[in-house]
Amino acid sequence: MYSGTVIDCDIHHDWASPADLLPYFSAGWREYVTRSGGRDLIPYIPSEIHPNPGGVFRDDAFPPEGGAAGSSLALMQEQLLEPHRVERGLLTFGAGTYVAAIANPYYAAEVARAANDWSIDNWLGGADDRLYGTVLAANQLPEEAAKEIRRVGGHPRMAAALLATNGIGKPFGHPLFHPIYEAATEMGLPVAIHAAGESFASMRVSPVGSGVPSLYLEHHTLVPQGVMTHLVSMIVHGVFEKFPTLRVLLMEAGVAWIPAVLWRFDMDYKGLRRETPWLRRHPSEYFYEHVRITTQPLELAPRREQMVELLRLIDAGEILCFSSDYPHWDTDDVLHVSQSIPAEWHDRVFRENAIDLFGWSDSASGVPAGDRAGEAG
Amino acid sequence: MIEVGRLEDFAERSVTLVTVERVEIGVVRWDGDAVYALRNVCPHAHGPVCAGRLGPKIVAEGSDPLSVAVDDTCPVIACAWHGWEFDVRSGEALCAGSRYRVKTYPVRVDSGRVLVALNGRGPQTERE
Repeated sequence: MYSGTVIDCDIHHDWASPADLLPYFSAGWREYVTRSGGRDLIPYIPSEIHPNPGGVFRDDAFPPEGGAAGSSLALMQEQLLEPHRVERGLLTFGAGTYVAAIANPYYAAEVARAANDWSIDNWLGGADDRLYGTVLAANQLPEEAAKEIRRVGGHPRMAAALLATNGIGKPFGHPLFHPIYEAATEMGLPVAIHAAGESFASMRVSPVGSGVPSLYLEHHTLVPQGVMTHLVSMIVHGVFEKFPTLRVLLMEAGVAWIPAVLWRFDMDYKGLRRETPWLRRHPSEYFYEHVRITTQPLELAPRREQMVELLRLIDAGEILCFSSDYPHWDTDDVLHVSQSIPAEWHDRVFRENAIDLFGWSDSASGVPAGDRAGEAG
Repeated sequence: MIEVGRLEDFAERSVTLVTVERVEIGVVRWDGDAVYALRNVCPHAHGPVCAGRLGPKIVAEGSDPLSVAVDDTCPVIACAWHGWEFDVRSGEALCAGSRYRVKTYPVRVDSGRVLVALNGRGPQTERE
């Protein structure tokens, strides 16, 4: 059992009510949101096509005073930050994570901008010094997303740029997305890619290969597929050759798929090199240098030793970063993860890999290592 | 060294299979009198590497996908079975460094005769 402090790389904070975001909209968009939706506000994020039959949140994570799960700092402190000894936590929004699922790209850019200002004002202004933010990026308009990363990415509490849904129907390696990576590297921020972003009615792509799933169980089992697509795309398109200091954190996609994808990727590259002559190394080499993975949801192997054996195959102690995914229904806690991985990896997985990724100083005070802008993330 | 033919028997930028002492060898004539010889066995899955396609190495200048070009100084053969590419001059795999290597043989062109040293010091076909 790990008894030290932890860095939690995926905490979903949310507004208690959509109305909380209204002060952060421009006057024009506020008018649009409040007037065009009839009696209700225009929804910020479209509906997911696969409802979880039990809801997507822990039943005990709803604040007693009302509001969305993840909207109460006090409850977050009580349920997560204190009992799990969180020294630093990365906030990744609630429904807002999937801002790139909004069909209207101009509205999406405004929602992202408003959400970032809301996050800074309400969560990153000293409410709890353990908390760090992500810059929500509406990637339907990559150049606008890049501007937003530059606008707020220099905030001392911003630790990463956040991508989830692909907003233009292309995997994240496509050159259209490169302005986002240029901005992130310029600001010294890693890019966090959150899973499950394509499962929205507004999307023109299937969230998985071979067709749109019908049930939530299908969807959730296959969530890693989308992340695999983005990862392979970024490496194939030479993103890490073009942006050699870029670091990427893959979130909420589990880890058991990694050896299968990397082994096949390297094998196929050997026979197809001439299609990608801009790559100078094997795909797996780019992966290990540039990519880190959050632990949640850590797959449950029939026997613990099987999981350990699998993780050793990919030297997982060097690439995993602990995440709880609080307050979602499939949250992982420190006990589960610490019992699932070798004890000699605990320090790396619970703290040090994240410290390296975000360029933080190795202290539990939560003080960032100075001005990150211009440094490798 | 063993004569495997005259230079004019081998077209420029082509690979020709010959058998020398029961060893199947691909004789690659590149530009002019640049001639190379490789064993026709791929170190990956033992496929007929010399039955694959021959061409200059495809490169990307500055690792830029918009600057794809060829390096005419580097003849490359792609194995017939899985497409693994090898530098004909050294036998080394292009994408796997020196880990995989096709066995090569010393070649000399003497008075128009193409001579191959079957037991020469060329590197072995190997998976290190």
